[in-house]
Amino acid sequence: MRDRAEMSLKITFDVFSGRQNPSVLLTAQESSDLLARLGPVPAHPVGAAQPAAEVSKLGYRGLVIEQVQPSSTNVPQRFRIAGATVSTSSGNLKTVDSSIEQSILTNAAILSRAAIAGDLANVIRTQSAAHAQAASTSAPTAGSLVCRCAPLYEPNWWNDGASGGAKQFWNNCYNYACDYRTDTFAQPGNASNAQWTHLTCANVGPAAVKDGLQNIKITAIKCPTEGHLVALCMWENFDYHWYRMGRDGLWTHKPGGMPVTNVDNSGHPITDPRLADRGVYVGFCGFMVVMHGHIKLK
Amino acid sequence: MDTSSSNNPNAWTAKVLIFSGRPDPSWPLSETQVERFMSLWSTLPATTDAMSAAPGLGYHGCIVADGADATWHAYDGLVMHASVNQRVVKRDIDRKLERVVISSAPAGLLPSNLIV
Repeated sequence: MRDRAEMSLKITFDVFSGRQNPSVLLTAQESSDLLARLGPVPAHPVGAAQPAAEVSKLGYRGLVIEQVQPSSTNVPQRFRIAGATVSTSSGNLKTVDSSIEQSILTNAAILSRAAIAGDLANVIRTQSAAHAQAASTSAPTAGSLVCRCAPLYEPNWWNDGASGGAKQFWNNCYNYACDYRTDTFAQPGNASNAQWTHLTCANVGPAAVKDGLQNIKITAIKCPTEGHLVALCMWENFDYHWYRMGRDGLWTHKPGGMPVTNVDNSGHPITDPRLADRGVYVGFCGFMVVMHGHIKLK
Repeated sequence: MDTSSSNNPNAWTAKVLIFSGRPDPSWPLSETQVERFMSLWSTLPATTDAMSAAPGLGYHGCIVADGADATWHAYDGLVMHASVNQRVVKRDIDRKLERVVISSAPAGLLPSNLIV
């Protein structure tokens, strides 16, 4: 798996007919995040013969992912993501969460580096959404999930700063993600006298576990059987940040004492915190589950 | 402008709005720092512009508080002064006041290059 983590990927937005398609080289971290979301990708179609998946049509046709360096045998050298389908020219390889494609198509930083202007981005997203709607796939789509145990998005309850309330100013991202008001700017581990000591994933994550949060290893986002999902991100050596997945499958967060919001730093809805614009919180630590009534924050 | 609260400069504090999980860093301002701040504030031109919304995560300005009821929020070329009796916005050309506040922080307290 080591080579997967260090590999760089190139994304080509397959949209034009005459002009050269726009493309972008992902950073090692972005590549690693994308591969983590995709999970294992077989090199060839498995099972029964698959139809040729690389469609010939005008307009947006998907994202072409290519290994740049160093190469890895854990994923195909070149493959396509279109909606929920991962494919090569020889056929479909697997079905994934279609929010992976959407996350890339709404990532302002990636679009900017690919020199995709707003108008073109809108066209691509519109065509992608139309394709997804037309496709008869059973793959879950983030945002259409219904996680019955997850908290509702209730910004008005938290955002009382303008009226002089305490909830907004004295509850941070950790409070909000855990849906647990303390009015103390709760710190991971503090309730069990084991507060974080270093601002790294390896230190803050276990501190949260001391509070009762549960580690979970997932690649495709899905509702936990009980409780709700949260995600820990890191501004290495300076700060951490948490997101939570709501009942509708979308992610929301509370930047410190600022108001609760349902968009990322680029103003986009958050279908996956791994691919959201997180500003300086570039490190993604992982997902955890908050079991309601089983945690304690201070 | 009501400056009565400046009679007790030891109560003045500055804070940078930047973190999400940790409490934002804050520090007391010395009498000299308060005088410099107030001197510069008095030279800024008033404006009817509204403070811009900062991105959700990351740096979104600094706040000076007089320990009583007055605060100054500086961000991205504007400074909003709020107290019980008034609310004033001034233009902070070249973010000079904002830089003065940030530079008053103890060494090592803040990440570098908050304002590019």
